Amino acid sequence: MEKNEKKIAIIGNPNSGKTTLFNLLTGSNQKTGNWSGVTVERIEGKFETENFSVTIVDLPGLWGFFSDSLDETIAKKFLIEEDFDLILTIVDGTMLERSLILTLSLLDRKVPILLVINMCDELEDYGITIYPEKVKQFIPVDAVLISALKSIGLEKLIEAIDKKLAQTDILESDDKEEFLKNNGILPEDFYQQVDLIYKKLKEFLPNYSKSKLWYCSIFFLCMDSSIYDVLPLSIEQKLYISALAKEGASVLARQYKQDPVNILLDYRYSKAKALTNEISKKKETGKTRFSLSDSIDRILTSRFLGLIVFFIALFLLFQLTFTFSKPLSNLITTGFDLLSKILENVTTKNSFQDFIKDLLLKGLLPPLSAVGSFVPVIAILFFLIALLEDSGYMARASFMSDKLMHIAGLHGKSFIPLILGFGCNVPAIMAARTLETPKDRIITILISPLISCSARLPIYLLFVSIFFPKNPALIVFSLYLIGLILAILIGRIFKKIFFKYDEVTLLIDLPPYRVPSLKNAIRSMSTRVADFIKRIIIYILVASMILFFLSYFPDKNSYGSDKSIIGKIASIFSPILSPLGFGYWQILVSLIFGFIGKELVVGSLATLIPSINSPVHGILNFPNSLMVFFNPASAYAFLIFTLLYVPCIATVAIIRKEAGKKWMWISIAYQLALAYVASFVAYSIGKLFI
Amino acid sequence: MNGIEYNLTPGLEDYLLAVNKLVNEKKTVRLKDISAIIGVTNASATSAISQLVERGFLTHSPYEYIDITPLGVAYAEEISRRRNVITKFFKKFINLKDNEIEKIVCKIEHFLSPFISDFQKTIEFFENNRDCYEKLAQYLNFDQHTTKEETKIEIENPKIIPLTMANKGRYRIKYFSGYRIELRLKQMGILPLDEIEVLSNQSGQVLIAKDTLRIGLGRGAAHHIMIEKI
Repeated sequence: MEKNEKKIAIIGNPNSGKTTLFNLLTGSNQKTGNWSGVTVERIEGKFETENFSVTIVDLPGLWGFFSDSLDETIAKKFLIEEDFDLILTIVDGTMLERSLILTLSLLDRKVPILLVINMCDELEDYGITIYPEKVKQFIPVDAVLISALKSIGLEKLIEAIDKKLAQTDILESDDKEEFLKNNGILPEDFYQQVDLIYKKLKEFLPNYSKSKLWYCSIFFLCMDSSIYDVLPLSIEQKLYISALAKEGASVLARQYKQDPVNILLDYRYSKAKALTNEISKKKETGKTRFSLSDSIDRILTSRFLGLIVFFIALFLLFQLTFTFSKPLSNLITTGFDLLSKILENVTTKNSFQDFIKDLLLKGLLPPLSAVGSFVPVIAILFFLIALLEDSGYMARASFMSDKLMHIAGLHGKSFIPLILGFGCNVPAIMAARTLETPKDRIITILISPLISCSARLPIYLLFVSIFFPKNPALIVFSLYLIGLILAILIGRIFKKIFFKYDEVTLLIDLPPYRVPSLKNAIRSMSTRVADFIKRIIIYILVASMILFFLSYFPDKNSYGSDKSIIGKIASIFSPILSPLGFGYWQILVSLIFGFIGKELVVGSLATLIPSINSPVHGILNFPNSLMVFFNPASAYAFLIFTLLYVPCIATVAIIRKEAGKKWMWISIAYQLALAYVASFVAYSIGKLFI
Repeated sequence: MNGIEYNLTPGLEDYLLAVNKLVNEKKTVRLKDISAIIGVTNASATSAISQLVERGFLTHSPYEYIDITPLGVAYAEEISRRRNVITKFFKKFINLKDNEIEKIVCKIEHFLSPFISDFQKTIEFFENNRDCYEKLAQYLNFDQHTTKEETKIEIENPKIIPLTMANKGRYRIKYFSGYRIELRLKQMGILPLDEIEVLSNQSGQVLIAKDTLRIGLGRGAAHHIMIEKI
């Protein structure tokens, strides 16, 4: 017999074990961690119960629906816009009281709810006994005790899901409006105000799901402007509803002396407290989940020792990532080299095969090799980050670095992404996903390309060895420093331009320390790597192909030379670079190739300027041939330019994916402008010293 | 001026009004004048003033006089207008001494501001219908209301400090001075009158504990949580 398809949503506080349970149910690859709000994108999984084939949607971890964070908006939109049969709400059994606030607020949605009480294996330690069967007496919710970490109670949970799904048919119950009875879910007079709005909404949208209208009515009364566009209302209807809501709010304010959201939250809090007392008992054992954790925190968050530990952790993170990934990256690059060698020796029979060979060899393998060498970096980095998140240290690290980040107008959570940028900008931008507000995320994404990544180092080293042999370290260090200082400045400027009135506030909950799970870390790593490849591969292929065609035609024998399209274009535009001291078409072409990956700047310079007969120096081979094109001032200007201009296709592609098209263009535009200006300044100053 | 949407905390509104008043009186305003009027330390005044500067209400560079922008003047006037409406309302309908009314009004004006037009209308209605008002006054039995418990104003209680100024130890939350922070903390189960423990405070960056919850707060967030030592 064909099983019925059902859809359920899983929702819970951050660190409640939601993602662990999700993984347990679906076996899918998904990330779990201690850092609030790790899962921003939507993840679905599938599993089977006895009678149903269930699709489960993982909603972001959140505390409630009223503080306007991105996670909350995602969850709210899901609950309003989509159809589903059951909400699975997961709470931490050791912190029942505060976890239940969210559960109570889900009752507003008027769909069946299954309460999953997690961490049952730890309850005894803290003298807590929970009676899940009692829950039903107080709220219309079934409850199950489980431990997601130790897979206890999983069969019972799946059984309960099956039973619950069999009992309920959403569409049917939605019609009867029985759910409209209050039963103490809302304060009585609050309920009446919601009802007034609901009746009007029903008049406006008679065919709309009634439970959804009811849910929206509550947000309307709470003056939540984010949901006005969710329902298909005309402007007049919106105005009517908003007037009704305002009226309702003022009626309530007269009585409660508070605004509706606060009335609701206060009510929920006392209700959660009462419910906790009814369904659980607590003996004092003198032990809490934080007994050990607090002692550790006394050291790790202290002013001096804490900072030392923080920097050591950071150093290790960085060091381990790049030492471990190096051999792997080399292996991958060698593999690609080998592949291209084999390909080179393939004899071609006609011009079409010739073309394909060149396409693979010159157009696709180099960028693929560049991206391939990122993969180990990303894998190891995210493995280590997952361990840190899972252990609970990441939240502390954000807290510790909060003050530092204020300089750039950001808060502590931006610190890790920015530091990662020194390795590679791509994971840095991906890591910005953990930031809560769009403002912080966008600014972090915009400024992280300015952090000098490891791919830029070969260019620095090459130029420094030729033009600044006396103090190479100083020059390289100055570049890193300039990148960092500009990142901070630009961060402040963007904050001023785009997010004028936003206050920077860090509010982060610190979960108890625990031993991180290797399984979770490996899962997280594989998700991230797959995600990375999936997200950017298409952009990289397309961009590389375009570049290939421009270089290949019209004369295939002079790939990328002044006879090719790109060479001609570069010849026309290279005077633009003259004020910077390097207005040669070869340099411009190498910079364009650098767009595929900064590593290619050196490579393409090598092919374009293999050897030159200079009247001053005689015959010069690469890299010494660069001396014909550069003097120390323009060389430094060139380094500044490579430091600051758009890092690579992979970075641009990831910015597009993470922040959207608009910010991608802004990022490209400002970086080109900044690179040009900074480089010009550097050249002008440098000229004075020569 | 109904279009202004900048949601200032009651505390900040007080600062704005104070600056407006001083500027009107003597044209040059220094930080210490402000802190003297409000009755706070220079440090807290600095923080408040810089928040107002950020929002474009004031201008202030270090070691220079504070000045108010046209936007600031407009907003200050709007606040005074609202306070006047509410003061009038209280004088008409609630029997309190004038200085008590003043204290209450600056405390609650902020929360009532969405309903100012309702207050205004109510006053207008009773002004146009004197007989109704007399009936109401009789019904309210005005003369016997001489003392009211609500008049114990906490806002000037020096024991109430922002969380940024707390040392390690146990405190009770009195109120939140920022709406966003209030909602976020309430959703996490932290409400006024709750006892919290301050685990560490590194120049305003605070780690607090309540039962099984540990929260790290940046300066900006901690500043909006008003607490009292237990």
